[in-house]
Amino acid sequence: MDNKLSEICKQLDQLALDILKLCEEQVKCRVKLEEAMKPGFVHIAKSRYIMGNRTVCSLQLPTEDSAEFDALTTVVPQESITDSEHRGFKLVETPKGQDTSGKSVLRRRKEKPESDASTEAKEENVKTYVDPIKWFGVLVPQNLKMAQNCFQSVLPLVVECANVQGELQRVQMKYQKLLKEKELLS
Amino acid sequence: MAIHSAIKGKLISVIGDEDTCVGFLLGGVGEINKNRQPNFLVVDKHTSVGEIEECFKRFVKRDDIDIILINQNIAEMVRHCIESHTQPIPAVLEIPSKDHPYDASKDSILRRAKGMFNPEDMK
Repeated sequence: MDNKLSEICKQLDQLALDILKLCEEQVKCRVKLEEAMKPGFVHIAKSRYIMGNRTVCSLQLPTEDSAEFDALTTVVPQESITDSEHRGFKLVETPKGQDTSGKSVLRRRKEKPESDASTEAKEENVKTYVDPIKWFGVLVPQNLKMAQNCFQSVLPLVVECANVQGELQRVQMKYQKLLKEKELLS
Repeated sequence: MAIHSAIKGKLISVIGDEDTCVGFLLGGVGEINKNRQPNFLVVDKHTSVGEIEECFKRFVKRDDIDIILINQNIAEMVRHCIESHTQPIPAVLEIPSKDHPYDASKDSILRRAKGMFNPEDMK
């Protein structure tokens, strides 16, 4: 009984240390994210200065009435090999040069030769990708492209932050579970 | 390439001010799905707390979203909603904005971690 209690106490100490380390890592990660986002904001402000106040704003962003399109960057869950438990995220980027916004317009213009169920199903699965920079015009300043690059490089940091936070939550849950066990024993 | 197209990835959604949304959408996280639902919300001075709350709850319910990015100053407005969300997925990340630097003392996850250490438990 005493052996089990001391074992639980040891585990609790280790988990408490892990929590503190993860908290520090979480703060560091956010500061890194903040530092990485700063030049992006500056480039957005510069392009706003060049193009005009209302040309780089939320009015250019797509709304509910816009045509549907898919995200260029998504995340997939990373599962551990030993168990199917969720172990964080991994970034998945669409390979460059897959802007299909023009294609979708052409597809609509063309008459359908015959409506086949299988071809319709295929069309439903076709993904539509749009280069977001085109929402702000065709001839955009270099700064907007730099802002885009900046925020693209921020995304791996976002995933890193999410992974650290997820790990912290997992360790916290484990700690609380062990704490309850300790209370039952003592 | 083939692997990339075969995997159906989950989305990163954004609730933030104009510059945060413009930035992350330029980065390529934005999407309008088949039901014409965007995965972002631009919060300005005219956006009510109710709207933000409703949008946050909608994003939490959506099964195609895995990460919700929310500016820390906006998260402060809907703190009770964020505190009540304890599931690991979707992960709610409080991020700094242009005008509000990151404050670790306001972060829900860190506050929860801090609250766990009771001097009585350490005996």
